Amino acid sequence: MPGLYSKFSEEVSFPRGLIIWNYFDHEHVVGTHFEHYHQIRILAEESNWCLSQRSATLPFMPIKMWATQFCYLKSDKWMRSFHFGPFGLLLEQDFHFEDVGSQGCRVTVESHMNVPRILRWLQPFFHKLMRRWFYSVWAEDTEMRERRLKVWQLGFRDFVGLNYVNNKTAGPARPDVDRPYPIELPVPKITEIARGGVGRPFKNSRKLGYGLSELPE
Amino acid sequence: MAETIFMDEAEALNCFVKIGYISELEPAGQFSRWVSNHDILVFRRNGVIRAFSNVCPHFGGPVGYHQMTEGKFTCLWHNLQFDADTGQCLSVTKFKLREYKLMIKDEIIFARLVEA
Ligand code: FES
Ligand SMILES: [Fe+2]
Repeated sequence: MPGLYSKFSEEVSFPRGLIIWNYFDHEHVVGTHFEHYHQIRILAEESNWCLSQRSATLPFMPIKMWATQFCYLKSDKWMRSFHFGPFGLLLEQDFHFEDVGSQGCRVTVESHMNVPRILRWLQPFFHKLMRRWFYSVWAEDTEMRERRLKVWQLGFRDFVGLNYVNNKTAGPARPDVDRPYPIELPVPKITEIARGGVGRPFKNSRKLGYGLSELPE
Repeated sequence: MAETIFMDEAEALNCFVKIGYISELEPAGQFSRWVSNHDILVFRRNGVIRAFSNVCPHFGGPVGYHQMTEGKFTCLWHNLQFDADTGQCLSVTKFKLREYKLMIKDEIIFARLVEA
């Protein structure tokens, strides 16, 4: 393959619908990934594609960069993404989602950037950059997906919450591990992301994380 | 407000479940934990210990991921903000966090999960 190239693949225990929800939930970029992304605005979106502008700080380069991203679901197992950066740089990515059983998925991400032959020596740096980016964002998404799956299996309804919590009634005896996770796009938006754009509402955060470990019975 | 609840001890132990220890509130003034399929955000505000649901009604994100600042919690996933006095969402008015009744005994915090 000409140009710069990298490929990563991970198997996860989340259903494919949840992974696709996560990629098309653009509002989480300045929330879950608040340490990498500063602002995002959706310029246009339909059920299987989205055009957005986002500013981010890349690893190894402590500067903010704006990029325009176009992503679309070519099929329900394949997402394509194009990042248009400064100096005419274009990063092309293919995300393949392969089911592993009924509740698992293998995600393979191939990244490619066309550059003049004279810049091919950047390949090891490109691979390192993509690797650092992929794994730091991946770790944040993994925590998000784990929690999303947990509340989903407890009966969570978007824009409502958990009924047994809200109504103060007894909850389910056990999570519904077979609850299907449908692919329904676009993910409904509630912030200004589609108008003026959104950014993180604070300068610094003291992170306390996803919570303390459960108490012994 | 954390209520003072009058009931005999056996009855109280039936209704309330242990969710943590006062010491776990230090040093950040808050913590969250899953207990019996409830994710509970416990915090101290103006000297009073209270607890809200830590499950954001939007998509289920963790409301108490960041330390509370200026009387507001900011959910990690999409930055919706909630008033720490009322649980009211300041970003989307139809959202409000459930408050749990608490009982504190011997430095242990108990919450009432089911009331209806
Ligand atoms: S899940 Fe809390 S802001 Fe979206
Ligand atoms: Fe993400």
